[in-house]
Amino acid sequence: MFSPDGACLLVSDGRPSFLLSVDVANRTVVTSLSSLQAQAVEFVPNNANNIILAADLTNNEIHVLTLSAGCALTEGTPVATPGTGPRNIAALPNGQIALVAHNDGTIGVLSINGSSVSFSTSFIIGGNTASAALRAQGLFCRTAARPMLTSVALEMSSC
Amino acid sequence: MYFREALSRAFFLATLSLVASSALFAQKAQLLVTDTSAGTVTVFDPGLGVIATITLPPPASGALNTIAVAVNPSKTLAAVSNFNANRIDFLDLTVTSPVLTGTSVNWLTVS
Repeated sequence: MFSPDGACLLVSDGRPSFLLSVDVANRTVVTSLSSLQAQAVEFVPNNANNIILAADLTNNEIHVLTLSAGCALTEGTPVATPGTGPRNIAALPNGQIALVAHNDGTIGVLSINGSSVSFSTSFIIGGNTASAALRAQGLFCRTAARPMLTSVALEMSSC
Repeated sequence: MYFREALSRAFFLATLSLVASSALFAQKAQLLVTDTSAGTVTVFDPGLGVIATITLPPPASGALNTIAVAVNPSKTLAAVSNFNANRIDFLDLTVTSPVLTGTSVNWLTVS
């Protein structure tokens, strides 16, 4: 995933102890974090602290990272997830809310204020969300879950 | 476990990267699809016609496994991750037929 300005690239493939930041212009690895697992990463838009969220499927945590100039990554304090197996994250365009899909069917709602990140609530859609895909489009949400599919799409448009 | 999981996911989901219209594209590429087992990236135009299929360099050992692709915000550059090779290759999307560009990033060499 590229940073919003295209200068940095984050690389994670779900293996343990593997999250990289790459300086795209220089084609160099700037940070290699060996202390966390990241199944999915998401840039939080419109965040003055350049917050990045990483879903740690193994440890049931959301890692809160900061992307600095030059593509350096810094770890903050992780947040425990309300469900088991966080697999996908989608931040809403306002940068104040992010949704986390878990393997157990739980959708967690993250509240973001500057560099402060915490789960405000969660709900369960059931079914197998192992391949859940989240798409954030607006400030509000409507779930369009298809429990017969292994890939569940949650489209945030209105509600 | 993670390797098997990733491979399984890769086979189920051809990695897609939707690209919005941009004047920067010489041929209005709209979609990039990686074939994980073939080690290729196919670039489609808006009518789903194939603009190019790019075969990425193989790893030193084993098969290439192109597991994901990302496009930069200005839609001029694509990054393709190769699971088995531990490598990121870059594609120039500004030319008529996208090609590999510049130095790849290999994280096994990170100190």
